[in-house]
Amino acid sequence: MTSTTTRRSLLKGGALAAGALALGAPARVHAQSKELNVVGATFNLRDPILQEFTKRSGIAVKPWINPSAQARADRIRVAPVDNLESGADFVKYAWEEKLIQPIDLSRLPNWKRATRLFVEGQATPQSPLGFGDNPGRLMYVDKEKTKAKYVPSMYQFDSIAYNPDRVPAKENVLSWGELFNPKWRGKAALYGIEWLGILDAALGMHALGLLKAQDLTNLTEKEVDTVILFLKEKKKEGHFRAFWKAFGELVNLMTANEVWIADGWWPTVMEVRQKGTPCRYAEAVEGYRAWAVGSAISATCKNVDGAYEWINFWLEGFAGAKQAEIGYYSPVDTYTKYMTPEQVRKSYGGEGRDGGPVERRNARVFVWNTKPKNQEYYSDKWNEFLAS
Amino acid sequence: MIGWRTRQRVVKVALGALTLGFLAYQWMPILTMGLLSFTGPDGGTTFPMRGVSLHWYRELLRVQSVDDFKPPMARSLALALACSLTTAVFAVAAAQAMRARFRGSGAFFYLVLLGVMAPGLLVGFGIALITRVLGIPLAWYSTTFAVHLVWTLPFGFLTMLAVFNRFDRRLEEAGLTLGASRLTTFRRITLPLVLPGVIGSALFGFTLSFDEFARSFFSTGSEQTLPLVIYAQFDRQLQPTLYALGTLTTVVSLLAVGSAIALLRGSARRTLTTRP
Amino acid sequence: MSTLRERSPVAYALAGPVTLWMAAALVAPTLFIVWVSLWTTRTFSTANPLGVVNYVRFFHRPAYVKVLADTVEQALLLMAITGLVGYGIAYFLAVKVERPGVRLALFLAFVIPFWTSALIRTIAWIPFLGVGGVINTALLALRVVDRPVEAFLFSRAGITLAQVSFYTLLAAGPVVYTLRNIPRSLREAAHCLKASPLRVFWRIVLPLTLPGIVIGQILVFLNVMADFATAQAIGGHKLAYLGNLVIMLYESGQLPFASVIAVLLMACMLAGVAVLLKVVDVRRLGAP
Repeated sequence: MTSTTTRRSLLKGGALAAGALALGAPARVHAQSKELNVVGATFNLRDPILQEFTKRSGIAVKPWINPSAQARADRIRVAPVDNLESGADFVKYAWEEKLIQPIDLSRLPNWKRATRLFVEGQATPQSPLGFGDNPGRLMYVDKEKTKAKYVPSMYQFDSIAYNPDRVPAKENVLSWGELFNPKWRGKAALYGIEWLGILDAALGMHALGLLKAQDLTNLTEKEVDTVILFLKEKKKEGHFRAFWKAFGELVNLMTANEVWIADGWWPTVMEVRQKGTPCRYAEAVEGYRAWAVGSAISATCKNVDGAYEWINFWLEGFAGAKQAEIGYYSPVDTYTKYMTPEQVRKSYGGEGRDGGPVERRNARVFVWNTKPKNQEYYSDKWNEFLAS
Repeated sequence: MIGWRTRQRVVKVALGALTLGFLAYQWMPILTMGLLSFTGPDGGTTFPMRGVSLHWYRELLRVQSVDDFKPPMARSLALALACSLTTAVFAVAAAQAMRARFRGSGAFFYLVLLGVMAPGLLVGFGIALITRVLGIPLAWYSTTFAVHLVWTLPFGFLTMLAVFNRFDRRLEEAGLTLGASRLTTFRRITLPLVLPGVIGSALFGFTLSFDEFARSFFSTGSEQTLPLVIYAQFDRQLQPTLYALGTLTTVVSLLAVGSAIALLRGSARRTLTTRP
Repeated sequence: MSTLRERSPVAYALAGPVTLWMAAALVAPTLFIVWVSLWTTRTFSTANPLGVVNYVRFFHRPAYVKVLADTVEQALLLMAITGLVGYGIAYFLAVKVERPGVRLALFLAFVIPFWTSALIRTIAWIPFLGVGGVINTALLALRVVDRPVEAFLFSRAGITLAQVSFYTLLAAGPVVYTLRNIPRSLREAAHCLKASPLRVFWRIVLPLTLPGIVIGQILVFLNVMADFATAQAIGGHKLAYLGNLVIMLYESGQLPFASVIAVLLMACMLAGVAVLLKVVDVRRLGAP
């Protein structure tokens, strides 16, 4: 406890000293308020959004873009970072490691308009909370919900993406177990990140009745063993064509017809279709695997006001509308200012879109992307699977 | 009995086939990439091609700001050139030092080779943390350069060791006995003789730095190098813009190398003809 | 006599800058990695108590040891393939090609593909080796197979194919230099003395190029051991080698364990180089 604070103050001191040594400390401070160091990925730090933000606030954004969520969180240790764009699982990590500071929600007026999914953790009082790290529960620091660890800015629901020409699905409904149907041997793909791959396998096994677990996102060691045994069998049969770790890889696999069925989400399906290969996004019988990416403020943030402006900008509606173009949902409904009613119907109303309106999805969350407590065991067993 | 000339020719043809076959194998992915770079606006990074167009080349030149490849490419080129020169100089210096078999040269060898042995991602992370504590800011031209050189130097060093391995000292001795200083002998006799090795080290330094990714991960500032920017694209749909970039790089390299050779040939011919 | 006396102080001056640079930019982070590998808790803290618990974890699980063995095996396989193919190519370039211009052109033809970003080339392997790709389409058209071959990609074979493409030049390069260093007169003399070409090769050329072979093999060995990008991308994240284990464990927030793998990897590499140096100590330069 003390050591990390001493180290942090050493870092702060060192950084401050370095800064003060530079020409004119006052000028430095002024310049810092005009700059914002944001760490994110190419799916949220997009050109039109960055440019609009700079135009409105006068703050120049210095983005550090990296697909590795771990590297994004670790960036705070090695370089000046103001905002960290991350998912709930790595926000949990960053919070435990004291890399981020609590966000005062009263400084974010638009947060009042957030969907119930992120205020209460459930879209409706009857919908399931979903197993795992539910952002609507995890994000708050206190019971009164005045402070948050991060503020979600985009979210989606993953289920099964498939090529309808090869994989039949009645009324676009598939079970997670379909991913392991021997008919798709050699044509299936799964998430290559160990805890998510195991989660997907657990979902499939649960659907097929092969696994009974209390919490699919936090399996006990024996349950992990069962899943890995199943996966090893499938690997021996040559069931998996490949695993994917990034958006682009999955799109490539499905577009090239290397893979006919995989776990995916609406934006990936959109992109595959755009490239000419038929692809549909099924409604999962058991429910969706959901996740939400948002903005956190780094513990070493130099431009706190700017950081709040950044988050407010994301909740204001422009960014939400832009992300809707590539298929992501915004947690606040401010995007209506920037979208025509037709566009809103298509994005949120489910018109011309697989899986129906957002209401049909958010009430059927089965699990959330979660980093399990016994991470080490997951890694050991996944490696066993890879080495087999 | 097969005559030795026929035997020689057979070996030449066989090895030539191997070389050219392997060359074709090297180039086929490049040609695939080149072909796909001309895919239509709806095409992806895999077959089937959907139409033929220059769309992705236009995209490459048009794109600004975050998705722009041009500034990172310029940075990577500058970094690679700097690395190339430094690698060549250091590799020659280190190899020369090894020739003198100084005390500790055995361990020195392992020290240099450590550059290839240490996993890049963690080395980059380590450097980033250390520089953070020391208050040194991360930047592509300072911290990344330092880490790149550590990676490219062993390659150059080993190349120079191969060149110096059976180096005929008598040529240097001749120069020394004729009264030339050690420095002059080195400059006018040794260096020209090992020049292919020096060029090889320089090429290694350039190629490896230009492509370096794992070490650059953490050691760059907010201005990133080309491989990092390309890697970042994996979070979005992979566009044939990448292929356009790759094809352009190849074409430019061919042109650069071709013109360099033509220039060298031209100057060589000129020096030959101007001699009395 | 050479331009440098034995154990001349100038040697230290030449080796000095390199040593300093390596010490600052490499040794320091490497020591950091070793220190982190001894951390006993998951949290990132400089006050972490030290212990070997993570090393125990590695050796406790046979799967991790298997990965180590698989990685070494892959390295040996690549060394063999690139050694043979590389030597053939080197022999052709160094000995059989007469004109230096052609030699240079061929050599550069090999190098130029490496100036395209490796990531882009890796993406291009899918349309090259995939089921709808160039090779499979050709094989189908020529009726060599009746279904596209899946084994080329996302498999051990695919990784090997890609690594051969990337690393053969490393094996060939040093051999070219050592071949060029053999004066033609040496071989001609042997011919005049009625030695068969095979004998000339086996007794004269090969031993003289052995240092070049060993250097090439060192380069290939180190690169294959450290490789993670090819194994991940072309292996479809289905196979584990030490290189991509480091990445995998880092990404799941287990830095100390990732460091353990890194340390073990480095230890293997050191051992491997030491073994190769026993064949020919390439640190000893100059004709005896």
